[in-house]
Amino acid sequence: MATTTPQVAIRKLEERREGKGSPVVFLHGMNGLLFTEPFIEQLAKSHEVIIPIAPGWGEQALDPAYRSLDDIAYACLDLLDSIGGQVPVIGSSIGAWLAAEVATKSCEHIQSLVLVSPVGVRTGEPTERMYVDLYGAAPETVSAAMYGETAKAPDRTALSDAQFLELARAEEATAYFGWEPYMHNPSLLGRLHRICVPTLLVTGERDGFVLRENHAGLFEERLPKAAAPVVIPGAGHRVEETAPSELAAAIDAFLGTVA
Amino acid sequence: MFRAWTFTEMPYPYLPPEADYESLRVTLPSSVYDPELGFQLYQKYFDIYAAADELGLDIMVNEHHATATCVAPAVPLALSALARDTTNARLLALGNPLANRNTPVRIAEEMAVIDVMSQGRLEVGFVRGVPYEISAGNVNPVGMKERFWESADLIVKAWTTHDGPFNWEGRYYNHRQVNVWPRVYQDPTPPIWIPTQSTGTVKEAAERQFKLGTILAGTDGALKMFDTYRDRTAELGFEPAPRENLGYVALVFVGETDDEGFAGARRLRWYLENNKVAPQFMDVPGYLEGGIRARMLKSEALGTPITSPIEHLISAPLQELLDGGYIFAGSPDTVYNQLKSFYDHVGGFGNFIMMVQTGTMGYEMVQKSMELFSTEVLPRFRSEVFEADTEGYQSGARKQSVSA
Repeated sequence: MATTTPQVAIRKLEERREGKGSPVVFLHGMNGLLFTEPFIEQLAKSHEVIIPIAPGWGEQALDPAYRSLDDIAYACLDLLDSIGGQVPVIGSSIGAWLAAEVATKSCEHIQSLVLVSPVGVRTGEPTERMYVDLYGAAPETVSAAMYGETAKAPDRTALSDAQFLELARAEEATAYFGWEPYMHNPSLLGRLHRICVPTLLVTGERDGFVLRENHAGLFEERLPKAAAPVVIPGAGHRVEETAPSELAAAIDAFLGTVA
Repeated sequence: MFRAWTFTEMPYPYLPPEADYESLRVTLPSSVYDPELGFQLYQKYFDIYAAADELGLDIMVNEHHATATCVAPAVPLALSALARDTTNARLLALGNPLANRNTPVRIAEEMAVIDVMSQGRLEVGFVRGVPYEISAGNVNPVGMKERFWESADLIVKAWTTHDGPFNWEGRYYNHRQVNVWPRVYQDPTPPIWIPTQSTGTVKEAAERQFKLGTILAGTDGALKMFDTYRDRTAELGFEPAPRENLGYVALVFVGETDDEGFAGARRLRWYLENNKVAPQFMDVPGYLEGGIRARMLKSEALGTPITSPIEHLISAPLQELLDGGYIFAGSPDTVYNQLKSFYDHVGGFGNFIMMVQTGTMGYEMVQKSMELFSTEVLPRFRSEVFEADTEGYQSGARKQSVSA
């Protein structure tokens, strides 16, 4: 009897693997992997870190086949299928939004979830801003929101030409996927209850990008298996950049409880 | 025929000191705007356009959003008044910001109405828009070019389809029953323009043989744009495009004497001097191709932030602006000579689009400048330069060697 091969509707995500040990998947934030090496190094000490690179980030241009974060979520499900078993999935910022999208669709191959500075949800009056308007706020305001204070923003003068290109692409991809509805999927909040695996919420104490008071609570109250949230002192929205060791330690501590 | 178009951005010029606001675009509160003064300004601007019509000049309008520099946020509104207020002038919308509007069929309808109301005097520009329109229009900065051309294609098809509805399900726009009423007056469509300062877009305009308008590019910049258009036309094996396909926008003031003309030119500088834009509205990720923006990010990181493309004009001495082809001003003879020299340098063009008013310039002074232009510059230029140039179509370089 002839067997049929499933048609791959969208191309496979690019990926990078670092370290040895039990596998974890890391879904990157707005800047892709720029400025995240210290965090990945920490994590890779005890894990094989599998890092899919979303289209538009890294060395890739945007791909018209990916019209929304939802499309990337399905490509992540393909990746999880290929890894097999059940692995922890960690996401930061827009990557945490993506991780939540993936997990609401299926937790079959997800052992646990770590949502670091998650975005992707919205509630409140139309005039209430949930997240700083990256395209309307002054650059120094954005920088302070992301890093806790402007002085903690990474030094861009040291970037190579290739890294500047990566940064330009990353910011373009963030605008493309996050423009409207701004940084969220209106359906996501109502789907969060489907995330049936243990989930850790991590936020930066000085996250200025998320404007809503107790934003993490929106996730926490809907997640059936939310662990006690962790707030990392002094960290901005980009926790993996501003507090890489503390974040890696919080993740390891959490994974130790769910293994 | 060589056409001279008149243009005001309809500014609201009564502004607080520049240090008191972050940006003239996008965020300036409308508490600054006094509606009674606004009423008087609209009276003035439409009176200026009525005078232009009486003087045998043509009319150009544009639109910008959330800004005091141009309180005209919808070209069809100004055009509908002008279609009734004027009799002879051709009416050029330069242009409709296609990628910033999600309703191409509505744009096709609006323009069709104006074309019929004006008995076929409409010319329609499709503009991609400057970066600081993105937040004001709340439109995704990524894919604007693709949206722009899909919208343009849909509008042209909507104007030229007369046998009932057609279906459009594109990447960006969906409309299952496209059936525009009224039918456009001009056959097959009103002349279509693309205003741009990018040679890439110039090539795309040439590929469709749309008319090209370029603004404040200076003499050398205009030559580059026009040559790009002519070269692309030749490359494609098309007939040489008429000079009427090329237009240039500059600041223009004609006085009885050079001194009077230069005094008017100094008043026109308001347009260059009042454009404080916050950096986040100038540099929007996705607006520019990644490689270009990467270079901008690098120079910014190294301490050379990006500036407006006309930044260098703000403080340039008047003579430099006159010599460079940014401002045309002086006595009628002086302006005639400046225009002739520009024409020769750029290899011929057919549309001179004159920003005749800006800032607080009043009706009388603008009317007088337009009258001097229409009586003492335009007829002479048409007969002695434009019509005398029987070669019609050639590159700037060839033109100069012929003149030499």
